[in-house]
Amino acid sequence: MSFQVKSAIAMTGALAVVYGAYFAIVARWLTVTPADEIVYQPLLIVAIVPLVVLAVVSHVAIALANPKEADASDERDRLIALRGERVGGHVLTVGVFGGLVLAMAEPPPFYIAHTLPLAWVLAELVEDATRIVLYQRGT
Amino acid sequence: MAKPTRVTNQIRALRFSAGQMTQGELADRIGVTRQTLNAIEQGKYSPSLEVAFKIARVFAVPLEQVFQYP
Repeated sequence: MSFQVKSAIAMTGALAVVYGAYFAIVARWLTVTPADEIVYQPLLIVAIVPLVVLAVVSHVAIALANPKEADASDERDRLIALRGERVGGHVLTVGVFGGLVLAMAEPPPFYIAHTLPLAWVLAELVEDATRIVLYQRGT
Repeated sequence: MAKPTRVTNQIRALRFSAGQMTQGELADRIGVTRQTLNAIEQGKYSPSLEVAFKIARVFAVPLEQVFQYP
């Protein structure tokens, strides 16, 4: 398994853990508090910290396990990265337009503020999953 | 499930006829990762023309002796 596959798996795991926890917490708040009274901003901003820490620690560990392959990248890696970004880009586009449509309906800002990061997280997950599948299945 | 390309190749046979050259050795000589060379050998990735020529040059054979297209 190449560094790039391990990297994609690590990022998928980190995103799923951090933002899975974030959206679970916020969804629970939503069941007991009206959306326009929820103070979500501090948690939304702070959530990026564990994501960065997990990403850095996992990539350092992967690189230490096989230093020779840590910075190895070639034409196939670049092609797979581009295809992953393209698929993830479609998901992000749908999410951004979803947020736009939602904004026109003028709901509490809470919903718009969560549609966009949700779209970003889903786009990243789809991008990483696409890369993993392309590495295993072939391009 | 693998999605093979229509391009086939004789890289594995050429490696063995060249003193049992390993995938890693050939990968280093043509400037790709061992995983990419493995994907090329298995028909899971069609390399660029540049990489294809580099492989042929390592074995000192014409390109069509390395890669075949139906």
